[in-house]
Amino acid sequence: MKEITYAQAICEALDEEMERDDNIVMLGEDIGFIGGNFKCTVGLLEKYGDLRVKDTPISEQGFVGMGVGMALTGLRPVIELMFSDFLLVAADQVINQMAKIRYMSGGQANVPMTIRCPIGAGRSSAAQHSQSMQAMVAQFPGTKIVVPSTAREAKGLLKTAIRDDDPVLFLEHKMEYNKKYQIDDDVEPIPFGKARIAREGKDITIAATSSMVMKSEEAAEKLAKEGIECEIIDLRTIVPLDTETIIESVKKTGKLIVADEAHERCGIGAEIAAAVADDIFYYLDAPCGRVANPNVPLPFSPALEFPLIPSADKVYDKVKTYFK
Amino acid sequence: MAEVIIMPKLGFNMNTGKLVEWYKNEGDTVAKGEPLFSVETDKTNMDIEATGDGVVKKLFISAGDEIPVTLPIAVVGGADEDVSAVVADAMERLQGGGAAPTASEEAKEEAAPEKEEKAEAKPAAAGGMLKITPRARRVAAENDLSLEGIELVGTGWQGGICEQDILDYLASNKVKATPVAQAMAAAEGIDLSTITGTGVNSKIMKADVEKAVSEKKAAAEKAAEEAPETGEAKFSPDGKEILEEVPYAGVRKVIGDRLSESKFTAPHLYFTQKVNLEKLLEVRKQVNGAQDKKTSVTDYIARATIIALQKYPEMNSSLVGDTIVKYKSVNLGIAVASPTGLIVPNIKDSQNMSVVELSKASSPLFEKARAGKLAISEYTGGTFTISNLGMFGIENFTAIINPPEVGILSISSTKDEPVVVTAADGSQEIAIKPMMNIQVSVDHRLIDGLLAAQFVTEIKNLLENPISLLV
Repeated sequence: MKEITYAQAICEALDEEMERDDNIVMLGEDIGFIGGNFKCTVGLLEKYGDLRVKDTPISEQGFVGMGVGMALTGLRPVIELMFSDFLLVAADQVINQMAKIRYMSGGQANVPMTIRCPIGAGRSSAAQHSQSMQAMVAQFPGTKIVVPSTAREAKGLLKTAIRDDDPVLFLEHKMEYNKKYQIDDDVEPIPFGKARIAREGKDITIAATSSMVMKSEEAAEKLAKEGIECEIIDLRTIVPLDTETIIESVKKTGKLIVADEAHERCGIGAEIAAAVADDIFYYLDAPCGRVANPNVPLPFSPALEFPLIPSADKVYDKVKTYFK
Repeated sequence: MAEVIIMPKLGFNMNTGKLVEWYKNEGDTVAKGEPLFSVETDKTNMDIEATGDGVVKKLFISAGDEIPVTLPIAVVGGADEDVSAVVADAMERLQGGGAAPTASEEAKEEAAPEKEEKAEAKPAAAGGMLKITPRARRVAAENDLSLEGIELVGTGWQGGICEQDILDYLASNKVKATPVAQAMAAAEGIDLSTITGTGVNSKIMKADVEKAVSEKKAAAEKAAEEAPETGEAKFSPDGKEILEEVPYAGVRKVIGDRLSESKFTAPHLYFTQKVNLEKLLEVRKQVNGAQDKKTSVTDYIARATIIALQKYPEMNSSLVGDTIVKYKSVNLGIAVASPTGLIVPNIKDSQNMSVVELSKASSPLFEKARAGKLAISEYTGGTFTISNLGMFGIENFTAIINPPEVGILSISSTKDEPVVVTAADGSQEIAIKPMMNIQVSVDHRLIDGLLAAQFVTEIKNLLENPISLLV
């Protein structure tokens, strides 16, 4: 066991994979000389050289498109976007090219490519640098979407992402990067589409993504003292979605809340509630609930920003509406 | 289409009806014309028949419940029909409680804001819909628990009934007992919920019931010993010891209310005659010897009364609003003591019936009255009443008019008395004769003393010359 930050865990995953496979290359803004905006690539330029760890200009459409081309020629590019908001700059490459080529080529070509980028609010990054893009990309088939929770999860899932033969969007939470976690010395790749029961409970199921898993755990501690036992499911991947684990849990608890930091409207919470509805309807003892960001752009001012961000307290309050 | 069964209004004065019993349970099929329930009207118990085929979906009241007429008491619908909306509607009417539909109609609009408050107070039934979560429904179904008519306050989402409510209900309503223990407890009249089980999962065993039985016997013996000292005497506020307290309700109340209404609105006048029944008793003996149907003295008095009523039709009348209605039909009522109280079945269109015919018509009515099975038409619509207490040895009594009639004839017992008999030659002697007092009570608003005196004397004359009753 060792204690490292979430950012270091990602760096370790990248390092271990690059060492294992020479075809892995990295592209992104400030990933080489600076070591990454959030310090996820520190030391990699020195270790693997400028050819495999490439600083790019501020041109997301350009270097994401370049990554698609590299993937088609047999490399395994890992692209870092400084903020997930910039997926929109590269949206054509991400949605129309990266996600579609296997289909458009009739399976003759595939794109073994990973895009890493941070989601979430809380750093006064304002409306254009605080968004969580998972639902938007999930709308379009062809890309797997990973929303890791802890450092260990991030490391194991990133390894799987890099080894996947198809495009993966790997969404890191920017408020997690500097948090320290106890982590095994060796972390094996974690398979996609298999959720993790982060906490067992009998009273209510909270299906959570990314840092909402930890916030839900914090809320669950408090709720447990009041006799409410939450079962927390770390979804790990949104595409593919492990509906089976959610269904089994709700059959037990009768109640489901989806906690996801993105805006509530058309968010993952709505999708999950609908996706499992057929299977859990007769087990529901209350309507499905959501904990998410309100449908307003995120403000710069922390005084305005923090009240909007889904917190442990908000999860706590939401759960309490089910136990009056 | 689901049909809402209402408490029927079976008489003009009937404001509430008391359910005697349901002949069908929820879930039973019922065919048109089959008896559905029995209701106690102002005077008797009546069976009400189903008006269509269907399945009894919901019963709102239980035996013994008394509710205003026209309020819903049941819903009958198709076997697979979803009647929840109809049931909810009916429940709302029941909770509204308005007796007359017209009044509740008006009240509805005024009461609208209040209804919203009610919805908050009892959210499980808000908006006329019972809120039960899908999970709760499933759990109920798995436990064979019917949610129809269940009394549950929801504690779940928005006050709905959730799984825990069902589980709590099951836990509190399920007495776990072995079949032997159940049978024993039923035989001994012991409530299982009062027994603490000693079996697995607190299951009540045979031994537990035996123990309860012996405890009950011991307690009863102890109570019997202590009774003379402590007693359970109840006293009125002013110190009178009370034997029994009975509610003034039902048939007793109907009788009481009607008689006081009669006595307080109709000024009564009374006229008495003494009748010599010597000839009549002789005629009756001959008539009963000549044919099978045994006639009673009452039958002859009935016939005499009918003849007198036809001679004095003012006595065969009613005050209807501002109009005095004199009837050609004589529906002669004869008072009968029934188990639930006094009732007066009447013989319809008795004006042309002979004594034997009257006897034949009245016997089944008396039987039905004593069994409490009279149809409503058999005790309403009378035009005059006779009340015979002769069989109880009464010397003389005064009856209260049965409204809306204007007169009633009281008949006392026949007793041998010394009477002065005047012979054709004018000579007088004292003889022993069977004598009977008859008294007419009349409503002085319509009937004056002279008419009443003529009427009662006419009856006396008819009874003393009984041949006129037979021709």
